[in-house]
Amino acid sequence: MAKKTNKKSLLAKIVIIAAIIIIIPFLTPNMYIMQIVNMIGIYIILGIGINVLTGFTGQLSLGQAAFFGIGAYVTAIMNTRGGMQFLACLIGSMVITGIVGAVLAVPALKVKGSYLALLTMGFGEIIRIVMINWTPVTNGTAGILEIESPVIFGFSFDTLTKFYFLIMVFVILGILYEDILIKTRTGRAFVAIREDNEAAELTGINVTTYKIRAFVLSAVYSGIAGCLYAMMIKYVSPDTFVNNTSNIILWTAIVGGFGTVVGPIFGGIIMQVLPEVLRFLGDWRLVIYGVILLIVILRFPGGVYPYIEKFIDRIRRRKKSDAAGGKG
Amino acid sequence: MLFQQILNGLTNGSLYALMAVGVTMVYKSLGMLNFAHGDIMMVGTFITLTFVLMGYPLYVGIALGVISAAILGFLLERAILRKVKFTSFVNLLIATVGVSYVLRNAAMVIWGTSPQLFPSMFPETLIEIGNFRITPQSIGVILISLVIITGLHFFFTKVKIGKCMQLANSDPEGAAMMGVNVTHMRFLTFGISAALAAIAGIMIAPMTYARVDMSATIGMKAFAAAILGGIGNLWGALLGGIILGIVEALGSAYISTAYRDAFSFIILFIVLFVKPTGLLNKKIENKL
Amino acid sequence: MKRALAFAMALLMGLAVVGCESSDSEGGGGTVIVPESASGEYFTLGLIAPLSGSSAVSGQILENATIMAVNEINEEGGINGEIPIRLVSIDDEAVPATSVTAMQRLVEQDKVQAVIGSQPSSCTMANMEITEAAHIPQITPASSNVAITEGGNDYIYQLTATDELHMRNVMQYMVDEYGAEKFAILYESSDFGTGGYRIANQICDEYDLEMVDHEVYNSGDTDFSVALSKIKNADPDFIIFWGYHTEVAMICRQMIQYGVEYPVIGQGFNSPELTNLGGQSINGIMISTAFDAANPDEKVQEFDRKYAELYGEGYDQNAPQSYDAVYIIKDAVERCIADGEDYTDSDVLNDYIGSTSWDGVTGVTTFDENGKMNKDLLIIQIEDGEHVIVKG
Repeated sequence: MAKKTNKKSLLAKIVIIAAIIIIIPFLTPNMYIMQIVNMIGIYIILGIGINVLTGFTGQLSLGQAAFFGIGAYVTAIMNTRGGMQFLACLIGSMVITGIVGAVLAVPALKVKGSYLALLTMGFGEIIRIVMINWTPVTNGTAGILEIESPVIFGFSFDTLTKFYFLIMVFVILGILYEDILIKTRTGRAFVAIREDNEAAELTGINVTTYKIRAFVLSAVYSGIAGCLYAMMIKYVSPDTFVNNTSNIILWTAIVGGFGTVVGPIFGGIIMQVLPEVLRFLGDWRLVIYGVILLIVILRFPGGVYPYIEKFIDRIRRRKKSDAAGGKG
Repeated sequence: MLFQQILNGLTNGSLYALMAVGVTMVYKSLGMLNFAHGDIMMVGTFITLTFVLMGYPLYVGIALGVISAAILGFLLERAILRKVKFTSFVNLLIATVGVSYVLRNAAMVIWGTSPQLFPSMFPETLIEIGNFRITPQSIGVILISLVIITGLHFFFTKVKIGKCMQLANSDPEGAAMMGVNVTHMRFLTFGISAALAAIAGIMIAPMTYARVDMSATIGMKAFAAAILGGIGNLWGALLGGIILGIVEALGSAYISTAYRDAFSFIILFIVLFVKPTGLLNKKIENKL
Repeated sequence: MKRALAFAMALLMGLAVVGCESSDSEGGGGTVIVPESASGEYFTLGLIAPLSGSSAVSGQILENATIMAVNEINEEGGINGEIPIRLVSIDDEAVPATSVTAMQRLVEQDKVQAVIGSQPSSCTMANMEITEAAHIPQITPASSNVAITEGGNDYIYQLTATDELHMRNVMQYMVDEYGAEKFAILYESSDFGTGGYRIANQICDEYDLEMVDHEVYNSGDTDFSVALSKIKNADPDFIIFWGYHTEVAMICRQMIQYGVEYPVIGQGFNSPELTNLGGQSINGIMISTAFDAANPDEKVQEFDRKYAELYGEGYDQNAPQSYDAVYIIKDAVERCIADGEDYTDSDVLNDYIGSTSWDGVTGVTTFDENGKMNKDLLIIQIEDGEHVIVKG
């Protein structure tokens, strides 16, 4: 009997989510909104990446834009110069960001806290300077133009709506993977490292291996986001991957819900929608935006999601007590 | 050219040193880097400029700018950093990043985004020694920075309040037991750190124009200098700053001008990798 | 189940907010001019420029001049005396991705019939794909990257002289007036500066000029002692600067400091800020430009007077160029109507813009088949803060 209800609720979950995802494009009145939705998707993926590294494993990274950028540039170069299509570019981006992630992990292992933040920030800057100056490869500040839309087995995702579904596939896969990860030994090791580095070491966890894994994983997520970004905007340039972008990525995870699986979804939505909504403030828009973010970090340090969780719990409890006829 | 570059390196290095001292003081007190340090420098500089443009004499403007920066430092400590202590270190750090963002964007709205001419404390006439030309600016910056840092050294070792500050920062419990009000000391630390940043900004702005994005490069170099010299160590900050300034100058002269800003990051990487304690520190001063 | 509900809530929440935002078509942009129309007919013109962030000053100037032109035209009743211009301006923050989103908004929501913008080349290159796909003509009054009009996009026009045009102007002048034989070039590492360097390298042989040194700097750099020292060693006849006023002003100061004395000429720094920041040190500097307020031409003086009256502060060449862009569009629509064609068909309008020959405040503008502007350029020299036209 229990098995059947489990299967049923799983099925219900999938149907609801699928329904919402399919309905969204019909609800968006025009391509401008569709573009924003797609950017939200990309930032959700970025948010998951940093969530794994900083939220789960406690390694503060202020240089995620570097991996985002590397992923975008690899795709751009492979596509415009190598004529390669989506799947090849995606793998290329993932592999290279993964390797660079591992490379960054090496010095990062030795430091923590503020130093780590500074190290990753410095890394982000170095990558950006390379993007600007390594002209034969990256075309310098001019950037790379005319990246094509993704083509998979002959099917071209040439409209924003089609792209939306492609992005959603990766968002779902990203969240699912994150969900599974947290339940495996790797996930538990991550959390143990975050809680207490030394204690984790003592309980036999190979902190080094897991930290490297965390870095690589977050880099690969960002690389995927970069690949999608490049093919959506069809143009990459160094001024997209600046320090501020790294900050926004970090805030995406924090504001949504640090260390929670679905936190990045809320974070992605809030971080992308908030500046648009605040446009009526004119010049002071970005200042107010910053102040709001500060308030969130100070008053709601766990992010938005835990509050939503509590809210849902409260509703459920009320339903239950109603059903139980007011007993207890 | 070599001489000119070394002089430039010393000048810039002195400024990095001043900034690094501010960074290192806060680190010692709070156990973390204040990522809004560079923007405090920028705000102090612009406040000075505003008063000067309103017609006040330069020295009045400087005094007001430095005091305003100190007040800003106090406010920061009070309003934000105290509260966040109770949650997590990560949030505290990110809060400073957030403050930096707000300061910078507010400055853009208030003062505009164009670089502005900033009056110099020193005369413009060049000093010619043989083949070399030296600006009074360079000499002035180096001297003033040395004087300030030496003065701080005496303050921390000989003057009572200074000694209390040092004690409160390195050993809060011990200090508290001796009757030192640790909170007040922390408050002071922030104020002084902010004032130092403002002074550095006021001295650098005549050479680089006052601009709202001043914090971007100089801020990070301050951190690199502080860590290079040994965090928490006053003379370390000076040494780190000077070395950084000279390496940058020589590097851009003989290796590549385009990658000039990258040198400080590269040094940072090397230091963190090889000797994270820095040059003058013996044990690891990494509280969090 | 909890997670699924949360997920669902999140998506719905996001959509609701975004949906509300979309129905508010007035907010989100910069200014909107909605005139009264006797005939009920409008021409919707879009303007996309950086109105906030680091390029805000330039973008704002662009917007000011555009609004000035639109108001002027509307005071006469509009295009052809009866079709007022409805202007929608939107901020792209000088960020390419934002520029794409903003352009989409202009095209999808505001249904513009022509677009002026953007200012940074990186933004224009990103957003012109949208207008191309929608077959809407776009004039950029400020983006000078040659790649913009070499990609086969039939709907984009560059109303600013390319690096090549300027460089030829510069080299011809120095050879003619100074008998120069060798030069050094100091340029910014950005796309703009590197473009200058590349062109200089390519065409200097045509003028019998030898490039004896080239030095690069990054935007935001403050120490040019190394570059200047190397240039001094190479001893050129003149130095070409290809960068923006902030750095150029500083370079001039340091030239005096280090005793580097050569004639200086170039492009990209013709801004009132140059004199503000450079003071006496920029005396004698020469600039290649399409427009200068020192030009005694009546149209130019009128423009200068009016802009100063309305907006006070100084302007750079983006102002007269975007001003002319508005008039060029007006002229195209009017010629179209005169020929009995339908200007609301954007492809037809595009053809008419392509065949422009308009005498405006920046001189006579025509476009070649790629949308590149053809024009005779000026050379001005700054003496004691005053602009003097020395050629043209």
